[in-house]
This record gives sequence, structure tokens and C-alpha cells, in this order.
Amino acid sequence: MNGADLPLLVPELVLLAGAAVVTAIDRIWRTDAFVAPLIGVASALAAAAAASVAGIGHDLFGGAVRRDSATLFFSVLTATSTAAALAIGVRQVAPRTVALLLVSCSGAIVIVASGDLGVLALGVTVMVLPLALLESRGRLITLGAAGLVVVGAIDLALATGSSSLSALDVVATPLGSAGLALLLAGLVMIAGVVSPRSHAPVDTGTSDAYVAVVVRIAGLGALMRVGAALASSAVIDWRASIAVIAAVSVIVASLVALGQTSPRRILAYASIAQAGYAAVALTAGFASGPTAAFFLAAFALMTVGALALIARLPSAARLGDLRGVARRRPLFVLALGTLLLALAGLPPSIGFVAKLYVLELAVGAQLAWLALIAALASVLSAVAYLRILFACLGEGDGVRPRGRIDAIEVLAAVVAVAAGLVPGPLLGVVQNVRF
Amino acid sequence: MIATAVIALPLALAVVSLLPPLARRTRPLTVVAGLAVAVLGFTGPMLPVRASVHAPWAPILGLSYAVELDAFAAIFVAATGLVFAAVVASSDRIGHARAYHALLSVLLAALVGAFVARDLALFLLFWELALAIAALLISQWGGVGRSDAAVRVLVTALVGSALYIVVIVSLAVARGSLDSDVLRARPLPASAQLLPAVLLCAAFLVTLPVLPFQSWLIRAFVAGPREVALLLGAGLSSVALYAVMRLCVGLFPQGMSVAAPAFVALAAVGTLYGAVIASRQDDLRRLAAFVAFSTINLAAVGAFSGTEVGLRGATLAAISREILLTALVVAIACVARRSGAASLARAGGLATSSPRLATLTTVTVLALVGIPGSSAFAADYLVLAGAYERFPTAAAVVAIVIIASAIWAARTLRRAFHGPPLAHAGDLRWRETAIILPLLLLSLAIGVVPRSITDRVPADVLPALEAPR
Repeated sequence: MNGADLPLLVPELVLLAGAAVVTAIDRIWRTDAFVAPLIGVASALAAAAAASVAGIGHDLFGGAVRRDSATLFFSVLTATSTAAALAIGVRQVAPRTVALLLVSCSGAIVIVASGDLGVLALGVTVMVLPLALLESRGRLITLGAAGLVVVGAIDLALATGSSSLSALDVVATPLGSAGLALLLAGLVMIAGVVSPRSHAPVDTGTSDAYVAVVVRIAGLGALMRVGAALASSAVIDWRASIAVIAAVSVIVASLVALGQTSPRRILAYASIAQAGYAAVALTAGFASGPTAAFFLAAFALMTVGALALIARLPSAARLGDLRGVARRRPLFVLALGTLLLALAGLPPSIGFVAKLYVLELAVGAQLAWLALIAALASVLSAVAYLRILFACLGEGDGVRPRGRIDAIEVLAAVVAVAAGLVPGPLLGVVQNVRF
Repeated sequence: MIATAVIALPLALAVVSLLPPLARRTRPLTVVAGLAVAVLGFTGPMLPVRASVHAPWAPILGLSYAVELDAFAAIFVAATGLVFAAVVASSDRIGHARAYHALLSVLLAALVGAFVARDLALFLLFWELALAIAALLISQWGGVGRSDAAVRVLVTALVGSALYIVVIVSLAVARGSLDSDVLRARPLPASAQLLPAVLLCAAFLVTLPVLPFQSWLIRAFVAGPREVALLLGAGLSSVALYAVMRLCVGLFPQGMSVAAPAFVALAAVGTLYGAVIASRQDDLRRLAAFVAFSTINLAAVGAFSGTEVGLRGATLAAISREILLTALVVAIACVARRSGAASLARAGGLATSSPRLATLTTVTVLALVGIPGSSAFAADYLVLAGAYERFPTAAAVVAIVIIASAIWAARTLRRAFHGPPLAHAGDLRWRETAIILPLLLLSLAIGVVPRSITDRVPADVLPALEAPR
């Protein structure tokens, strides 16, 4: 470890500085409502830029913080998604929420870059604690997941005598196995179970989008780090466990999403099903880097866009409230419908390409049963998405969307289709992502 | 090139029909789109341009943009274009006509695209696009029960395409490409063909639809706009049948021959079931739906049987039913305009007030039932002969259909046109005649020269004389 490595932690530092500035401004000047979110967006984008400028290089702190292609891709993805999530509620988000999400995002970047159990546990804690402060009801699950990760990491470090992730493949003792199980369980909870139930005074969709996208990406990124370390392990067939978890989460989350009546909750639970899809990609081990990266990038784009549009209907507590929106605001529904169909995996959208990519990987890894289950379960989540769309298309006198449609949402819808028609560039970018 | 043109043309006209200056001209424009597709489809294979395009789409995933308008696809494209033009020309006034007609044109482009697509993922793209647009049209422009119908159409489609996706994903992994020419050049070993053949067929069973899956079609006919119902019942069913022949039988012949008995049995019973239920319908839209269901099952018997005669018969049956079903649906619309509702309970004695309508409808219905000379007669005969080679029992069941069809035909004609006149309405206007009559003449012409259709079935679909390696 040496001090010269510190400047390369700029993305994390920028985020923390942004959080500090937001807090200070809130305390000292009490400015307009949109100043804090704008600073948040700016610092998240700056972090993404810093991460891409820093690029790929030697690992920091003796391998504890990796600077490989996966770190690069996922840092940029998480920071950009955070910026987009903050942009959703640019006039409504409280400064405190902005600051907490920025801190949380710095934790997410640490997680996806971690090459060491201690760093991983630190990242999880930094990411999860602000969320626990933000939420009231999901707090126990959120903190519990972090607790499992920390305890599992300590167990593993004791069992192997080393805190490096690369030492995981020699785990053989009962203590080590238990630690590994706890670690994986905690990460799976972060990737899948943590549900967006924000109870901020004004519901803006920002924390929804943040939890549904950034937290899931970070959890899956951590799972991939651990998975890559375990790939050569002959002791534990972790792939089978991940396959079962993926199948269960896709099915259960799709069913639950189908039973929901609130559009926001449908999207929230369907995002868990999408995380399950990403977990399907993990089952292929080493080769899963490009697929998981592509899938998660597509997922982030579509989910943030859809949540941003739904956030414009704050009073639409039930599907019935959406009736008649299509007649009054056809463009709004066109953008929302495009994103929902893309999430449902219909061609020609980025969601379709992502789905095909994941399923091909699963079949290639001799998991055809998983591909069949995932394909059939995707019908359930597709129906859940389409319920929102059909509610909008129905006749009636529902709520009126707030404000005009934004560049972000139009851009998300256009990119979702364009990247499905011409997936080459994004596919080219992700080919290098390796853990 | 011509294949791309035939997809792009209706799309371009859809965009044009959205332009404000043409607000009152969208229906003629849409009819022109259908006719243009029909002409392009008819003449396409003879034009001196490159027939096929193979361009990369996402090579890492095995996707490519591969389209080809060969003689086999061309007849389906031409028939679909014709059906589209005829039914749109007969349509009533409708609200938000610009959006409606633009979406209809996109639906036509999607159906045509599914016929010319040579890449399995590209086929899925057009397939799902067609179903999504159809569901949207039903949900926005349909009648009572439209949202239920739209949801059913979509869910059925999604289940089918989920099975389809599993197959193409396995193929992409095994062969690295989804271009059907590449797949045909490197077929799967015979022992590995059964599962993909069954899954792929199951995907198309729900959208043909074969026996237990017909409810979405019935609801689409009852609740959907007439044009959309017909494009689903005639156009989309043809796509599914075409895919069964081109993909299931063409790519997995050995697997299909193992799985065929189950599918043939379902389709044979479905044929009979549709004809029997049709004879009990008072609602003419439901009648048309069950006739559509019965006839596509008959065609499916020929396709699933996998024999050369059966496949030729299935092709002829598909084309014949597209044309005749369109004539029937247009005739039913004319009856509905005169009696106030598409119901046998409200019609009656129309033969006295509208003799031309009665004549044309009678010819249509008899042609559908398969009187000698009509295209349906030739098709029924070929399907029966083809099925008899391998499945005599199924052929026997299908043969009973001729009797069952006679029952619905006689009952419908008697209730609608004979007996005491309930409605006093004018006869067919020239435009209505001009739509139905050419369709009937075409059917008779095909009935006289069925080889014009059956000879276009390509060798790569027909069973090979020697066993492939």
C-alpha cells in the first residue's frame, strides 16, 4: 500500500466530496430545491468521467482494489445510473437523500472494484448504511444482508488465513464453507431481495430507481467477483447454487410482480426478476463477463427510463389510475410503452438482444433447463409489464402526468430501440469485460 | 433487395399516411399498400434483381439480417397483400383513421417480413411485431370485450415465442448462426432433432391455432376490428403454417416424423371440432372464426403429415383459405350492414332483397366447404391424400369434416338468405361486388390450375428421397 495510489480513487472521492458539498449547502444557505440534486448529478457524472479517464491499470493496495476492465465498466455504469436516478427527481429530492445516495454510490463503486474480502465488506457497508438511513421499512433486510456479508467475510478470512479474494478457491474447512455460504447469501440478498420501498416525504422515484438499478448492479458485480475467484474451486459447486437461486428468483419475482396493482411496485418486483436473469448469466462462470455487462447496461437503461416516466404519475397508486393516459398524452405512453416492451424482451429492442445473450450463455454452459425456465418465466414478467401498458391504453379518466416529457426519457426509449437494431457497438464495448 | 423492398413499402406508406395532407385519403393509400405488396410478391421472383440479402446484425449472438423472396414465400406474400387490400377496401368508417391505417400498414409489413425472413431471430422480430400491433389495434379499436381479447392474443403469442426463443438459442449455441440457409447446410443429427422439433411446433401450435388454443382467435374475431381479425385469422395463421413447413419440417425432418402423429391427431380433431361448432353459431363473426380455425387445422394436418403431397396440399389450403376467408368476412360485413348486426337471428330472407349478395355469399360458402372446381376442393383432396399415406385414421376423421362443413354451410345460407324477409335492404353496391367477385374468381382459377401454387413448394421443404446424413 502506498500513498501514490490514492489519486486513482478519484471516482469515490468525487462522490464523497459531492455529498459533503450538498450537506454543507443545505445547512448553510438553504437554496432552491434543485441545487442539491443538480450537484448530485454533476458529481455522479464527474465520478463516471474520472473512472473512465483512470481506465485500466495496475491494481491498488496490493490487489485489494482491482483496476481491470470490469471495474472500469461497472464504475462508469453505476455512477451514470446514479446520475440518471438523481436526475429523475431533480426538483423534488431532498438534499439529505442526495447526499446519502452519493455516499452509497461510492460504496457501490468500491464493491465492484474489490479484490479483497475486507474491501468488499467495506464497500457493502458504505453502500447499504445510507439506504438504511433513507428507508424505514426495508431497513432490517438491508442491514441484515450487509451483516451476512461482513460475518461471512470474517469467517473466510479466518479460515483461509488471507483476506484476498483469490484465496477463496482453496476453502475446504467447515468454517470456510459456512463463511462462503453467508457471503453468497448476503450478496444475493443485496442483488435481489432488497426492495425499493422509499418513504421519503415526497416520492420522486429517485430512490426507487437507485435501489432497483445501482444496488442490484453492485450486488451482481460482487457476486461475479466472488464467482470468478471460485471458478477453479473443486470443493464447492457454486454454479449450481447460483443457477437454482436464479431460477427461483426469476419465477417468484415474476409471479409477485404479476400480483401487484401499483405500477411502481410492478416495476420494482420485475427488476428483481431481471436481477435473476443477470444471475443466469453468472452461472457460466468466467465467460459471463461480457454477457452480464451487456445485460446490466441494458437493464439500467430500460429500468431508469421506465421508472422516470412512472415517477411523473405520482398519484397513480393503482393500475386503474392510469386509464386514459394514452388518449391525453400519446407521446408519454409511446415512450413508456417502448421501454416496457423492451423490458419485456420483445424485439427489436436492447432487452431482446440482452435476453438472447443471457440464454445463449446458459445453454452454452449446459444449463438448458435454466434457459427454458427463464424463457417461460419471462412471459410472466412480460405480462406484468404489459399490464401497465394496457392500463394506460384503456379508456377512462385517470391521473395526468406531471410536467413535459424529458430528454432523458426520450433518449432512453430511443436508445433502447436503436441499440436493439444496431447492437454492434455496445457488444463490442462489453467484449473486454473480464473479472 | 426485392425482399427488403416488400417490407419497406408498407412501412413507407404507413409513414406517408400519417402526414397531415393525406388525412382523408388514408384508406385508399392503405389499399394501395396491400395491392403493391401483392404485385411485388407476385412478380418479385421474376424480377432481375438479387433475391436474397445476408448481412450481419449481431454476429456474436448469431443474428443476421437475412431475407429472401423466393417463389414459396412470394405466393404467401402476394396472398397476404391481396387479403389486406380487399379487407381494408371493404372497411367501414373508423375513428382516428390515420393512426389506424398506419398501424395496419405496419402490421402488413410485419406479416410480410415474417414470410421473407431467413434468419430465425429476424422472423421472431416480425412475428412479435405483428402480434404486438394486432393486440394494440384490438385494444384500441375493438368492440365489447376488446381488452380481454388483446391480452389473450398477447399472452398466447408470448408463450409461443418463449418456446421459440429456447429453440433458437440452442441452435445459435450449437451452430453459431441463425441463418436458416446455414442451419440447413449443417443439420442437427437425427437423434437430436426431436426436442427442437417439438418445442418449435408447440410454439406454432398456439398461434396456428391448433385445437386447445383457439380461444384467442375466437375472441379476436368477436371483439377485434374486422381487418385485424382477418389479418390474424388468415395472415398470421399462414405465417405459422409457413413456419411449420419451412422451419419445423425443413430443418428437423427426422424429429418431425417422430413427433408427427401427436400433432396430426390434434389438428385432425381440431378440423372436425371447428366445423361442428361452426354449425351451432348464430353470431356470424364467431362462425367465421370457427371456419378459420377449422380450415387452418385442415392445412396443418397436411403440413404435420410431412409427406410431399401433404405439404403441397397444405400450401394450397393456406392460400385458398386466405382468399375465401376474406370473401366470407367481407360478405358477412355486407350482411351486417343490411341486417344491422352480424347475427343469424337478425338476418333472414336477404335473397329477395339482395340477390347478388346472396349469390356471391353462397358461392363463397360452397367454395369454402370445398365444392369441386374451387381451390378448397383441390386443397382438401391433396391434404387428404397426403395424410392418408402415413395417417389413414386422421384422414378418415378429416373426411368427416366435409359433411360437418356442409351442415354449417346449409344452415347459415338458409337462415341468412331464405325464409321470411326480416330486413329490407339494397343489393350489393358495385364496390362491394368488386371486392368479393375477384376473390371468388381467383379461387376458381386456382381450383382449375392448382399447380400454379403447389409447384412452388421448394425442394428443401419437401421430404428428401435419400435420408440426409
